[in-house]
Amino acid sequence: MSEMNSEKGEILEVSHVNNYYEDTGLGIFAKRQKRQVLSDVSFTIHTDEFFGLVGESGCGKSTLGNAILGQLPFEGTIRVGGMEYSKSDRRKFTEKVQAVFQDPMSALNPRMTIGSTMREPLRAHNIGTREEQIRAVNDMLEKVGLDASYADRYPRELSGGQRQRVCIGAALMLQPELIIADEAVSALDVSVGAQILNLFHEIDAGADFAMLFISHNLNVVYYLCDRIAVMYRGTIVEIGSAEDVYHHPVHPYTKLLLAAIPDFTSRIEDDGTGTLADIAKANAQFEVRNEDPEGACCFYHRCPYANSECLKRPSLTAVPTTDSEEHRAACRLAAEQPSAQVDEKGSVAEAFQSTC
Amino acid sequence: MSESKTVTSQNLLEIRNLSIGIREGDKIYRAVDDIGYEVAEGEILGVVGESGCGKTVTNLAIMGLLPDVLFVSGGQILFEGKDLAKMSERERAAMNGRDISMIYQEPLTSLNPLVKIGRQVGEPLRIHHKEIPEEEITKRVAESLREVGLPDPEVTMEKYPHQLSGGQRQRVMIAMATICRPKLMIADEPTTALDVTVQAQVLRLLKHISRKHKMSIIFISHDLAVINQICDRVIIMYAGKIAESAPAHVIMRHPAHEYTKGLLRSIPRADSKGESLPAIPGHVPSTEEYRDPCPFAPRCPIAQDICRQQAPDAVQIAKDHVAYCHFLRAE
Repeated sequence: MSEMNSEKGEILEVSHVNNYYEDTGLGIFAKRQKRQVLSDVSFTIHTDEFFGLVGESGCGKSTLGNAILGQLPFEGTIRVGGMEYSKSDRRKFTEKVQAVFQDPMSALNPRMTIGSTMREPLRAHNIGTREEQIRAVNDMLEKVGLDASYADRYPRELSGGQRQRVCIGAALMLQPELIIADEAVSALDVSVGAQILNLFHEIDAGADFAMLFISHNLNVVYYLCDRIAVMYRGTIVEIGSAEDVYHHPVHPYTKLLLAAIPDFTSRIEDDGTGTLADIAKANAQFEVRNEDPEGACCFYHRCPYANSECLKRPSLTAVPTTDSEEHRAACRLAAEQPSAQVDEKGSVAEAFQSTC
Repeated sequence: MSESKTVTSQNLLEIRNLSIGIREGDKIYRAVDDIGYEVAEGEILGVVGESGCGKTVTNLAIMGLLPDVLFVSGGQILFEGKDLAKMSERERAAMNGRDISMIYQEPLTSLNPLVKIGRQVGEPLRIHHKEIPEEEITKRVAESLREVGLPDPEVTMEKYPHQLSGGQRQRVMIAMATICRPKLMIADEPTTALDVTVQAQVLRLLKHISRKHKMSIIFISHDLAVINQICDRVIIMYAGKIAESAPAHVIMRHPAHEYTKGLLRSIPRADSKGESLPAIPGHVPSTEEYRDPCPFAPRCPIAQDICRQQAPDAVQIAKDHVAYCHFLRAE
């Protein structure tokens, strides 16, 4: 899964993608404002690779997923297996890319049996005879940890985890080269979410596909993915191997995200101290400064390291790394911070605090 | 990590043998099955469990807000010695917001979009303390907003909910829920919808307010790491029953019940990358499904016949540490 992907081909190419929406504001006389959701997003996903995209709610990660699926207009180019959605046969395109979403109940038709839901892609694409389709469905049910007896059941008869297994199975029916999983384990119970993560691992071993795994949970993304991109306000601020991004983050936002994950080693003490509490305290002041000056770095308003240089938006710059994958960050400090340097959580809090 | 304070003061809330039923057509199922626990004065109690474990239903019963299909079928909910389950709706209404308050996962749906923040935050005072003049209410609202860390309370009071961020709205909810200085706050997944950086702020704020005003909190969450951050004691629920209860630092390090162990193991951590997660097999039973006397038996790695015949008793593993399992021995 992770070795030397760079030698392999690319399944997804996203280059210079921008997306806007028009904010109509409240009331009929409100001024229409164009707001940028994705801002010059570029990256590639290698074949067979699990690629994680992390960010807070509203950062544009799902918008990007929808743009790749051809569900949204955008500027720039997105190619899946060399094909552009707008310029290709839709049927051929959907054979290449499939999606799994957060809520399996709303993704399944309540009036269709599991078997017919899973057969649907084969029917639509005229693949095989009826018998072959049924056999393929039964095989797939086994592969996702269910069995042939589930084919005659309805979604309501299944638990949340089983439904998500069905969604994953349905997405795999056409043997796509890319799966987009948007918060695919977020709505599941903890113990069941772990089963689904394991399932992704298992099917990965037996099939050839790449995955764009979109999530707000850095721990989950690190666990599952080979490479990670961190997104903030529609911009990719850091991208690199899972090891580099998770263990040697360079961008102040990535550091903040990592430090703010609650853990089991420290707690918020009665006097309001503790790792998480320090982060919270330091970060709270920045909430007020919400707007960046025009053209500034997207993290300018919250960044403890921001200076006048940051008024000009930084581009993704290579970070010195020993990993075989490139590690890049959109920060003026990127080139100065070799990713070998490990930052402790405490020092992040300190950095954020020292500027307050 | 410091040992959490052992709360020796008296219990504010005592739940005794509480059962809650669900009516579905002619059938009645049990959503909560004979549970009991206490909340001490000023204590932050974490309640952890997966969907359908009864954690939310129990708290709706405490608030007296059970929907029509749900009803208390047995047991007591003693708040300062008085049984909430036996009170009239009128008596309950007089307590909600004044003695007991609640905050939810999604603050946007709990706030009235058409009413200014200042007006909404002052509402509990207007209802429960009719004697307080309007200027005084405005003053207290500003104070309350300042306490939850909202800058420029005077400006915030004039805003509408949609003009605030998710984190600010949750702060507004906390300001509203604490303005009458309740003795107990029920926080149902209050940070689940928030981003991690904002979650950290809200957790810190809740702990601060609880300690400052000796307000007890029942903090419901599915996330053990979040629970670990702020709770003194934790109750683990499974399928309508209590599986284990212990001080937070004990349960995170020395879980006794197989379910708690499984939950802790199934969380992806930095050192589990590349390995298969030791997930708990099977699924959480829905309310209509048959349950063994020990509801965890079908998923439990150590279950024996006895688990399917007889409900396990409480086993006192250590001081303040209780688990319900046939295969545990007392201290």
